[in-house]
Amino acid sequence: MRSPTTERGLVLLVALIMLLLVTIMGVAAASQVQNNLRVVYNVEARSAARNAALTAIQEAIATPGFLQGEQAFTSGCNGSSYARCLDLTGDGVEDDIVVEMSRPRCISAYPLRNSQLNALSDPKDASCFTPGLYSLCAEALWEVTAVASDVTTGAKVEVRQGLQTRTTLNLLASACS
Amino acid sequence: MSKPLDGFFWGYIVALLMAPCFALAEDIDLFASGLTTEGGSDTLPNVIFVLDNTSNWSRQSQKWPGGLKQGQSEVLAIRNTLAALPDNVDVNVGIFEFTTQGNANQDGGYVRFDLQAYQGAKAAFNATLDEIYEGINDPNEKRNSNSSLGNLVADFYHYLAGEASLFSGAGTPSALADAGGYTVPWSRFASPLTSAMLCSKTYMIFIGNPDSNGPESDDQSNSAALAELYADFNMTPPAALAGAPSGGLSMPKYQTRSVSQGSTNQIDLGFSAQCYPGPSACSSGILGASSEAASITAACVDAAAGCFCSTSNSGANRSKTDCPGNGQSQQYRYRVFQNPGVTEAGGHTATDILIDGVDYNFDDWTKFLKEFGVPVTVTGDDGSTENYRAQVTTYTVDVYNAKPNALHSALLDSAAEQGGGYRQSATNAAELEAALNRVFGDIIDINTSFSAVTLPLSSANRAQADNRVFVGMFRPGADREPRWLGNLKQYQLAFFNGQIELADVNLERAINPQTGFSQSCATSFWTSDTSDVDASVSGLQPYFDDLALDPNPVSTCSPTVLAGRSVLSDSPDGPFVEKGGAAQQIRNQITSSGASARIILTESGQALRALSVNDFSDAAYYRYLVGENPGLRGGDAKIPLGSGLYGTNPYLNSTERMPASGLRPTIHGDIVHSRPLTVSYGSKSDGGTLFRVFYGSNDGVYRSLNPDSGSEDWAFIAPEHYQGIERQYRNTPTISYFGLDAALTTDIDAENKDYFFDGSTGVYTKYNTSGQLTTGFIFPTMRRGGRMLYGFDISPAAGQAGTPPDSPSLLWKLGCPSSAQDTGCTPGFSNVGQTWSTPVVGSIEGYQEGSRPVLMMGGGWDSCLDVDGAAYACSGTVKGDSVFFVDARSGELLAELATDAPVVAELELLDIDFDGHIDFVYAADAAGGLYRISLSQLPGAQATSTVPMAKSSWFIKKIASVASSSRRFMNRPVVGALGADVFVTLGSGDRERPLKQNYPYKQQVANRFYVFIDRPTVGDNETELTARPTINLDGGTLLNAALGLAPGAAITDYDGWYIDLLDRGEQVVNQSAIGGGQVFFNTFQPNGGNGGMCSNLGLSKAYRIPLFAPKNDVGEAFGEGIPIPPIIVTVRLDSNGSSCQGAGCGAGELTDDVVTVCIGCKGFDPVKIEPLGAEVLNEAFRVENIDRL
Repeated sequence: MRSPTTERGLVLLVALIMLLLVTIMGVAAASQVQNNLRVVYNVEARSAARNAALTAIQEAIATPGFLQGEQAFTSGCNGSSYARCLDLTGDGVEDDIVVEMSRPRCISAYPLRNSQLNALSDPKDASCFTPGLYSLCAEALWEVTAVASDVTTGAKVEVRQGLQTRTTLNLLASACS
Repeated sequence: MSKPLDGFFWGYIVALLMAPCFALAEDIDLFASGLTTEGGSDTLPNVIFVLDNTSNWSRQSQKWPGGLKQGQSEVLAIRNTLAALPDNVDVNVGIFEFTTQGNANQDGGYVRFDLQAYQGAKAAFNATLDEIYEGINDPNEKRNSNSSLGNLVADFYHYLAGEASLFSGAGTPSALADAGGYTVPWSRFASPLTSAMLCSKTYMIFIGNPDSNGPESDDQSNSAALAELYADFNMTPPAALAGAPSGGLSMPKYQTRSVSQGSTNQIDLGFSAQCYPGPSACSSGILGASSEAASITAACVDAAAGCFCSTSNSGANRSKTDCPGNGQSQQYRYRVFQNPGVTEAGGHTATDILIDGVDYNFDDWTKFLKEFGVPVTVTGDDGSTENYRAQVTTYTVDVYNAKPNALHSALLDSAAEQGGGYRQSATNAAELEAALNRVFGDIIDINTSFSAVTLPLSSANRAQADNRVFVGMFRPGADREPRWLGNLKQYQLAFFNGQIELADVNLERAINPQTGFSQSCATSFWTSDTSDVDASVSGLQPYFDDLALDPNPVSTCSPTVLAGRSVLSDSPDGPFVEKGGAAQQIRNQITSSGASARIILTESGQALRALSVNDFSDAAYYRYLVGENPGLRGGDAKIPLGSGLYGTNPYLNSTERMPASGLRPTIHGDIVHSRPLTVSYGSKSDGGTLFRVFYGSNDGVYRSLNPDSGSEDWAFIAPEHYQGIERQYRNTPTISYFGLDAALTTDIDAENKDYFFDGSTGVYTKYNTSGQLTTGFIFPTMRRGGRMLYGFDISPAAGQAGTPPDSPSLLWKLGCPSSAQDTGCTPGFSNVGQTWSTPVVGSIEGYQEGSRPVLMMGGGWDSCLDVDGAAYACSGTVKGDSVFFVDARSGELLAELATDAPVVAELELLDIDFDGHIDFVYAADAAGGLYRISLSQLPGAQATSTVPMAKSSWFIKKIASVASSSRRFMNRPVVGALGADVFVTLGSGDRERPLKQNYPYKQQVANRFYVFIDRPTVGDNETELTARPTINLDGGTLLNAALGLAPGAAITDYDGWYIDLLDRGEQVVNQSAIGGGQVFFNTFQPNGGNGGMCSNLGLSKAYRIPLFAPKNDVGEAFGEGIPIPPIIVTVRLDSNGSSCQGAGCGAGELTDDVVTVCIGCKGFDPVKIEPLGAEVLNEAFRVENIDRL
């Protein structure tokens, strides 16, 4: 039998240590959650910005005069027809994300030969036909860059979109030279 | 080797065949034939009779034969003349007279019969004439004898202009006046010139009855009124008016003579005013004695009047009342007689004496009416208003029998002369009627002869690199005169509200959509203001003042836009052919001493040299050609005169007016068929392109023009054309248009129009790697101007690539110098007809490995094609029925390939494998045949490469033909190759037959437009290709486009397609154009026009049909007259760095856009050609950069 006197009081210590550990763990866990939350917020912000960029690109594609370098948006913002402001918070004010659109840049182009046209059956192809080696049409590859910035979070996403188009030689001469 | 006799024989046969033994028909007939009879009332001529209803119209002393008063004969003649009009010919008629009431000074005019179409108002018009007839002595009908004419014609102007009448209409006989001619009876007239009548020519026929005292002087207020009208143009009247001491318009002095000296029926003029010792003293005393003239008769002032004193001593024939002397010295007043039937000689005195007509304003008024006309405001369909000026032509009829008045005749002569018509005299009812008939014949003719002002038959062309549109233009001469005016003007393309249109130098819209021609305020390039040029005598005046051009080019541009410029300045040139442009520059090409500074070359001994005065039989022709001397006024060799006879035209030998400095104003002749050619030499140091414009005009010369200044670099006249200059100089014989009455043609000695270098120009160019011209050849053609083809070397001098040479050199000339025979033909070229087919030049791999350019052209026109009939009239020996291949540099004949009929059209070249060498040539003949000439073989269905053939193997194959040769091919077949399928597009028609009287309309030829698919791939060899059948273009293997292409079918399942031109007489008169997968072509039909302003020149329509999927199309009417040929061009609208924005741009706008347009597909309205569905964007790739925080 062991003498009680030889027994020392470690329980408190252990308990304290355990408590500390648990506290630390708890605090760490809490911090982890916080961090995870932050990450999620960030991902969400980026995602929103990306979606804004893609939306803006689609909008620009459908905007008349985009390829001609006249405008990207019919309702631009910040005094530019190449900037688009979007509403994220749902407060009805389009001031949360700004997408800056570049002018389309022609990165490659080649004239279509008449022999490459399906002129006999495709009216669109037929409308390119003109006597000679080359038709009136050309194929062109354009690049446009959209940069979306979240005004609140500062999240920023850049999307480079390649666009392929049937265009005219005339437009090619001015845009792709 | 043929014997000389054979050559002579064939030459003789050919001469017989080619001699035109019938009235030649050609496209210019459209402008002058006067055969249009079915126009609406809006195109009727306005004829207003102005009756001189002074009591002189019933003067006893005129002894008017036939028992009537002369005024009664006048209204009868009017009635009969109009009654003789065929039912399908109508005119608007009106009657205007002196007022007859009021006091003696209220001598204005009133509307007796308001202007309206005759056929519908015949009864009312005749009733009015009857009323005048019955009331010839009624004070309501006639005015006192001594009335001046100035106020009458002033009120005539007020009537046409719809302005207030003189004296507020006081004196108007209200029972007789036509209230329809007034807005406020009788103080304000209603203008009869409605917008619908705008296209009508307006004529005044003044019927004058001489007063015994001659015409009455006009008063100062009349002069002031006319001066005020001039002042509206910031001008003073060209001559002094009544009230001034002298300096009025000159009138020819008339001298009267008697035709009958018989002693019976002498006219008793009463006793002489003076006393004479004997009859002979009396006779000499009364002549020229003003007091006698005043007391007896004005007709006795001239010896030729035939006055004499009685030699009888009977008491009835002499009187001593108040005479001095007695016994033997007793003096007497002798009875004065005038010979009967005194008629007026109808001409100027032999000495051409001119007298000052300052006291009379009648001629000054008619001059103003002719040159400046009457203002008319019309409202268009869209509510916009436009101001025009209706110019009035005046004819006068001088009616008298026993008592002509020299001064009266002189005034009527001057008034008609200044008013653009002519004076006739009539001494009995038959002559009066003949005189009116003659005027009417001319009015009905002229009304449709002048309508070409707005019609450029010539082509537009422009350089592809530069935004410069050159338009050649012309205006037919007045009165069928052979000297036509022409010009070359430059415009540009610009955006107007997003639409591309022709713009002038100030970027204002250049084309008036109403007329399809230049707007009145448009200013072409090179045109400068000449409101104040030295007129030598009277200081500074506008250039066109008093140059007596017909019509006087008075600008209708509004004063706001004119901004101080004169209406007779070159700028703005608007629709006036003679104003501005190249013509203005060329007439200023003079040395410091005023001589011509132009470089005019000619050919002799196969080389070029300067033209010399010795090249012409008369130095006058040379000086006229270079422009230093005026031409003659000319006109019909004979003109109608009083008594139903033709007399010599007194103006034949008088000269045109010349400006104080510069060459003659008519220096630039008509560009009718010559399409201007531009040749680029390279870049200019200050930017832009350095080039020259080449074209021929029918003043005789072929020109090289510097487009920077519009001045002439050099000009060339062919020796074959020397003889044509005389007629240009003399401006007579006049032109015999198709349909001109044969008897009239003989009477006035009319002949067919002369042409010079009237065709288009072929060209060959070669550039170095810097884009500078190193070799350039041009090949002008003559069309109806002859059978010669010239080759000029316009290459830069050695070592000076890119710089135009000072003058060209001759490569060669070939063909035949005579139209009628083959003497002097270049060996091998005797089958060349008139050079209509513009040469085309290319390299052929089978000839010298393609190192030497080869010229290819159709044989041309044979005069057998001048026969006006649907049936193809050529047989036997026919010129032009072959295709020539010539070494372009040396002129050596390489090959002549025969066709079945003359090849009038330009050839079409095709390089099917795009190796730079011509593989196939397409030719169309005048009998509806289509040919392919193979210069290479195309083995296999894939058109990747061809195999060249040696010259000896080139062969021609008739690939297709119309079923009936009444469908003619006169235009270039335009091809587009899709792989190995060659789409050959061309329409049938005959532009040389533009009238309803010609066969396409009369015989109802149903013309068609064809797209034939040629498949030149060989299976193997020539034999296989030649063995293929000739396709019937009207057969079942071609698709009728009206039916459309069945779903799932391809056009290549057929041999092509065709479309019927449904309107009667509708025909294709130009080549087509292919672009954007469509084929564009124009048609013309002679069946009147609609919508044009002042012409009835036929209707032009535009068609655009998908080439590969044809569908029905009825065309779109867009204008009048023969349309210009379409060209498809791509042009950069260079804004020159100063791209304007918004309001800063003016009406037109230049951007840096490159556009493809067709000019001529719809007149001068450019049609933009754009592929479908271009600019649809498809997503291709996407790169996202999301780590860029």
